[in-house]
Amino acid sequence: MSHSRRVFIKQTAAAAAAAAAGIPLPAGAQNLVTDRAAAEMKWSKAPCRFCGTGCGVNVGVKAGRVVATHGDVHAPVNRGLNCVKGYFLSKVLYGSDRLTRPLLRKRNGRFHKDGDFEPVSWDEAFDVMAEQWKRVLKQKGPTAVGMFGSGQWTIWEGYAANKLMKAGFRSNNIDPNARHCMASAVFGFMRTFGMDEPMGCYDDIEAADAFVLWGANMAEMHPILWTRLTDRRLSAPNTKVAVLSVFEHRCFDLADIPIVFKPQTDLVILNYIANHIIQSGRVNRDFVTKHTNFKRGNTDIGYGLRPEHPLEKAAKNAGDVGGGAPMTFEEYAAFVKPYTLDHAVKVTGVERGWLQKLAELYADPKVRVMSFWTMGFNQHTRGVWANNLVYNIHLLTGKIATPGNSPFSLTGQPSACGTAREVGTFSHRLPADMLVANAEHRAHAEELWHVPHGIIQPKPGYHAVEQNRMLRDGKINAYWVQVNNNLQAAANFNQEGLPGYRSKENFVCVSEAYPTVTAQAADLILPAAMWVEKEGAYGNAERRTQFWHQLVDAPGEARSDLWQLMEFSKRFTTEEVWPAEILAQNPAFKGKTLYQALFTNGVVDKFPLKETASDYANHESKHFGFYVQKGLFEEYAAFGRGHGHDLAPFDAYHQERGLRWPVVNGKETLWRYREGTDPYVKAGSGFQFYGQKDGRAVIWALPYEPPPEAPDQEFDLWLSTGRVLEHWHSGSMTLRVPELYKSFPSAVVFMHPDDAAARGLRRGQEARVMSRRGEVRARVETRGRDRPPRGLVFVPWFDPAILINKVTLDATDPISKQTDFKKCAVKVQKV
Amino acid sequence: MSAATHIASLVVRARPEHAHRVAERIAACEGNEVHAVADGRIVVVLEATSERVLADRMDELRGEPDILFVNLVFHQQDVGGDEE
Repeated sequence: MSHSRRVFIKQTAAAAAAAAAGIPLPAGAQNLVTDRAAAEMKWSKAPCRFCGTGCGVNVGVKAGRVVATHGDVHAPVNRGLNCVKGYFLSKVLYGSDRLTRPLLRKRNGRFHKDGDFEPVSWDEAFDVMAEQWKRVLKQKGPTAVGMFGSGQWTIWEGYAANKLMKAGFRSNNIDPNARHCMASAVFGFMRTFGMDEPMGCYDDIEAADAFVLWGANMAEMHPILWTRLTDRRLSAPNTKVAVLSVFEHRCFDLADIPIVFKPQTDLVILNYIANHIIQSGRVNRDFVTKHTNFKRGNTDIGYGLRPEHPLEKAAKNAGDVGGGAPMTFEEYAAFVKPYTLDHAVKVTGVERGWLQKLAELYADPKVRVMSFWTMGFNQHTRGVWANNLVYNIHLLTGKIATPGNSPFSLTGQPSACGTAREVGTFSHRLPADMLVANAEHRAHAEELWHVPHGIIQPKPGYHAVEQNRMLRDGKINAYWVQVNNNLQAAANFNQEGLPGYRSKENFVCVSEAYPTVTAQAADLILPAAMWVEKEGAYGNAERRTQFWHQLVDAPGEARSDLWQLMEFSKRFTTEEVWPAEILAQNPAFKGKTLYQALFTNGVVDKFPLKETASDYANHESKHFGFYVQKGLFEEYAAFGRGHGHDLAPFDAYHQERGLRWPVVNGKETLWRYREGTDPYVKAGSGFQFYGQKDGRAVIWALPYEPPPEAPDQEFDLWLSTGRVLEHWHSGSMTLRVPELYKSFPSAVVFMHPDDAAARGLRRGQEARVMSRRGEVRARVETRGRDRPPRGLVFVPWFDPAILINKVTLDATDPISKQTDFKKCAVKVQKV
Repeated sequence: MSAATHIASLVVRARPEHAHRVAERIAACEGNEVHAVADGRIVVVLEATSERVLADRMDELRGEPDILFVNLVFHQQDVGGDEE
């Protein structure tokens, strides 16, 4: 490279960084001249494919390949910045072991459960799969088929899958891996507000005076939001940051109030803060009187283990986990009164000064507080309670739904909100927060899906953890997994995961881009298109819906999940899957395939091919002959329009850098439930929590209850699991990027140096991490980014060579059915 | 074939009181240039022979005690000689 060219590129680079940071550079350096290489490249917008933050990126395509990604300066979420995962996005498409052909286990030329994987055509793959599904449907009916999906499905993929399972196959056994991630948040929202997802948005960050991180390690998991938070903290010096966790991590570098508490005692801290607010006379009486109700929640609700487990048999309210009864404010005040500072200090192990300072952030009426949480609350056997309890303290003080006052549930997946939650791909849900158990909701969904009444089954299907158990027990025999690596992700791999996948009775199909642990345990692998290899839509944590175009073709014969779902539906007729009496009453559906009944119904196929963008490919639309994504989106959007979930017209999203719903009269909504910022709130009401019939949010009285398993003499340490910056979830994609892999090649066991020394272990030595369920080996790390206190070890779970879920316990929150991956008892020994 | 050159720019965030010291430390390493320091934000341009070296360099910076975050903004790869 010539000297002048190098200088030119460096100036361009510096100017871009300065613009993103908001720093003026000396004149002359700011001229971002389009250089030749850039001119050859076609740049398009897309949301990042990784976490729930929803950063905008510019994707550069050259000769049919994604060659570069940059933070999008026009994206309001990240304003030109990018984290290390986002930067290497382009490479997730091009791992050397990318799957490009369907693979079926075969022996002597036929499908065989114990055969080896052999490449087959799509026709053969779907023939074998359809034969298996028909066998199971005939023998046992719709409850014996199941699907496990994801918060990484695009919106229309999740919508098509939900419709195919619940209306097509009449099975509610569809659940997303968001169950492992967000279910407690969802139930928390529904119990308190009657409506899912945050009332506030990321703009709260620049308006807040205090930030409280409840377990969330944002510096590593949500780096761009952490960047915005750090900028706020440093540019407004009176801002305070409280960081709560069970071990020290990178966020503690910025903490004004650092708190390491004993596992499960977050419930005590939350109730102590409520008590402090009441005792110090700082309840916002006007707000509480006008806008809230109090309820006493059922207690002693068990741990979501198998019903025959002694802990479940002993639990008094295992049969009515979500129930409760109205109570008065005075009764509530008496309920939290035992949660004194002295009690909190004793139980949590935290210094009293820090707890007092934390409580004051919430109690002081002048301090605008933003609370953040993710897996620390959600992956918790009392995760729904933890969510309810944090809303309590925001509601008691009226610090909610106004700029800077924001209880904010972060999400882990790019479309956990947009697809899993809003589309309702949970086993108990329908689109727009509706429920399969509610007859009115079913009837409404059947009308909008244009299928006969009586098609949707009233009983919720098996949720994520139950699906593994039912595969093992032979109750689910035909199973389809898309866009996730659940065998690696789910707890108790040896006892509840692998046996079901490899059971002779079961046929398991996995749609994947890479040979993950889950794919390798399957009978049939279908190669999947990823991210910008298809037209897509995601919804992020702040209710922002974002679209992208197909920018490149998928390699080989890889096809999108949407294409796979719709093609598979062609192999079934309504006579094969719907009851004769429903067809007799609705003769128009006779002789149709599921594809015709669900997808060429006059609504989904309403928009012609010519409406697709002329300068971008669209594989699915070309294949099926109509604008598939637009049709599915518009049919779906009918669920929410006029009901507080309004989405903009389809085409608007291809122009905008996302819009936050409800989008009413072309305007997005930043703060819901507050008069003036939310069009659904009536004039003169101030606030209106319209998810609840009476417009009032519920303050729930819920106590501390112990975890199902705690360290004892033999298994003497807590195990907490989680992620690291460089890898996203199970590493299916990030392990394919050499730069990320090298940054953090294999999982280690982070532990306190004294705990290591007491077991004769030194940094870098291999250790056995053992629980009552299984063991793994990993190297000891006593320094670095994560610093546990004595008595606790932390192991990240991205590494398929160190399957920490052999060790974890499959206890769940009984209300949300979300697994607690953060707490179980282990021992650590020298190898 | 001549070696590729990779040029990238970063925004590094330090506490304002440490920013100039951190910037000096960054600039002292070969291949790093500091283009601006303002209000705790440091604009850094990196030059390296491979992406892996770039990633390592970012990782080292992220590990430094007074650095709060490191974000990548721009990256371009260029094969030498095409302009000469």
